[in-house]
Amino acid sequence: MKHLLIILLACGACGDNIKPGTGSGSDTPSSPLSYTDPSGGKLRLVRDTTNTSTTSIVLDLVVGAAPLTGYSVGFDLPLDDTRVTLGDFTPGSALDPGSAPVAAKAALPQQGPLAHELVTALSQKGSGTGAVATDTQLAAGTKLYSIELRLVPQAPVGVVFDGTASGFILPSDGMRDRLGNTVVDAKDVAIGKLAIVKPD
Amino acid sequence: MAPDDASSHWHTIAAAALPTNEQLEANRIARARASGEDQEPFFEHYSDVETDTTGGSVLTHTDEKVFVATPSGDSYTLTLISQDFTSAAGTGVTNVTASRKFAGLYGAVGAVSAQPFYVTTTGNTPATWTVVQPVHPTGTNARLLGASSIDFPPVLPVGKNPGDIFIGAFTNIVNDGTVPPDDKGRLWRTTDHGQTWTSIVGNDPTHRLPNVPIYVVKYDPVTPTTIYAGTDIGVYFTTDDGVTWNRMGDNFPMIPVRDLYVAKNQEFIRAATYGRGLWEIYPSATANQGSPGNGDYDRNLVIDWVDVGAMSARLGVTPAMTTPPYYSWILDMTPTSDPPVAAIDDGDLNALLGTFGGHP
Repeated sequence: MKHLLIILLACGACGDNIKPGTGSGSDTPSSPLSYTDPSGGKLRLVRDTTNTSTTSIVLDLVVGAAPLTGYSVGFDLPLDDTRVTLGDFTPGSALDPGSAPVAAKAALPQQGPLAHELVTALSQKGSGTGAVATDTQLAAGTKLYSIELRLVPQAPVGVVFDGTASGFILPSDGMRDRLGNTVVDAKDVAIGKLAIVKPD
Repeated sequence: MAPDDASSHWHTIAAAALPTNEQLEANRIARARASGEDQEPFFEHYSDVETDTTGGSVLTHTDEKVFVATPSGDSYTLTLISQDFTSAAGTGVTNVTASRKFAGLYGAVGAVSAQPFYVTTTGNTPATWTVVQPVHPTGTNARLLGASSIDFPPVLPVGKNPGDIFIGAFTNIVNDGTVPPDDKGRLWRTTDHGQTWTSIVGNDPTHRLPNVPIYVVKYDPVTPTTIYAGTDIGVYFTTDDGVTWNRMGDNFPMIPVRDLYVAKNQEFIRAATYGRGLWEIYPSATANQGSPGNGDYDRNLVIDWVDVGAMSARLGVTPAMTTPPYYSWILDMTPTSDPPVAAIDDGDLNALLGTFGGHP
C-alpha cells in the first residue's frame, strides 16, 4: 500500500494536466509556469525573479535599455485564459498613479470587446490626490507595474501567450506623454513567452 | 491634436501661408525640369492608409494607376497595386480612398461615367480592381457624370462584407444633358458592392442635400450614420444616415469644398476650399451641454489604457482651459451638479475605471 501511494504521488504531474504546487520535491520547487523574457524593446514585460511561487508568476513592465519620459502606459495582451487567471496588480511608484482614485487598473475580461485579453493601464493624474502634472523621466530598467498571473488548477500544458512569435504586435500598447503624444508605440513593446510546461 | 478653443464656428487656419494652385504647379514643373524628371508620373492625390498599424503607408495615383507608398528608411517604396485604368479608351482614375477601418479595402474614382468607381479588398497585393456600375438618376440608361469621391463606412451591418457598402459623390449632370432631379441629386450609396445605387440626399425638401456639385464625401470614422459632404456651397452633414441634411456650423463662406478630413476621435473637421484656404471646426465642443461622455477618448469602442491616460491627464480640466491638454466632453462622464458643470474630475475617473476592459 505504501509503495502504491509513492507511485501515485510521483505521477501527480504525469500527463498534460498540471496540478498547481506539484514540484519536483527539491528545496526550490519548479513551477509549471515558464516565462521567457523578451529581447530588446523600449518597454519590456519581464519576469519578476523575486517571485518563487509554483502556482503563479509575476511579470513586471519595465523601461528598456534607454530612458523614457512619459505620463501614461499600458497594454492589451491577448492570452489563453483557460490556463491562467489575473492575480494581484501592483502599480509602481515611478509613474505615480496617485490615490482616491488610483489611476491604474488591470482586468482580464471574459466577455466584451476585450474578452480574453489582459488589459492594463497606469497613468499619473493631472490633479487630485497624488497628482503629478508633468511628464516624468524614467531611467532604464525602471519598473512601472507588476502583474500576477495565477495558474488555473489542472491547466493543460501549452502556450499562454507568445510575444516572441514572428510578426507579433500587440493590438494596443505603449506609452504616451501628458498631451497624448506617443512615446512608445506597440511595435516597441517587447513581450516574452509564457507557457505551461511539465515541471521538472 | 486637440482644438485650440471650443465652438461650433468655422475657423480659417494658415490660409495666408498657402500658395496658390498655380504657384504649386509652377514649382512642380520647375523642379521636374531641373531634375530631368519631367517624364515621371505625376501623383495627383494621396490617402493615408490608417489601417496600416505599422504606420506610414500612403495610397496615391496617377491618371492611369494606383500605387501604395510604404516607408523604406528615409524614403518610400512605390508598389503598383491596380490595373492600368486607361487601357480602355477614355478611362482613368481621378481620386483614391483607403478605408479607415477595414484593412485592404481601397477605392478609386473613375474618369468616365460608365466606370465611376473601382474597388479592391486585396489591399497592397496587386490585383485587378472591381469596376463599379454607373449611376442612373433618371431611371433611364443615362449616366451621372463627374464621379469625384468615394468612402466606406466605419462599421458594417450583419451579413455585409467590406466593399459591399460605399458612398459615391458626383459633380456633374447626366450624360443626356439633364440635371439630376433634386430628390436624387449627386450623392449615392450602394449596398451590393456597386451593382445598384440609391440616392441619399434625403426626401424632405427643407432638409435635403442641395443639388449642387459634391466634391468630397466622408463617413464619420466612428458613427456610420453621420456623413459629411463637401459641396459647391460649403459643408453639409447628416446624422441620420442621409434622411436629413443640414449646413454645418456657421461663419463658413458659400464656396466649393474640395476635400475634408474628419479627426479619428471626431474632435475636429478640416475643410479645404477652392480659393479660401483651409478651415476647421470642432463639432463636439458644445456637446457637453447635457450630453455625458462615455470615456472612449480614442473612439475605438473599448475602454483601455489610452482612455485612462487621456482622462487622468485631464483631471481638473474645464472648457475654460487655454493650454493643452484641453477639455474633452467625451471624458466628462458624470455631471456633478444640476445643471451639470463641465469638468473632468475624480468622479469621471471612477466611472471610467468601472468600465475598464469593456465597452464604453
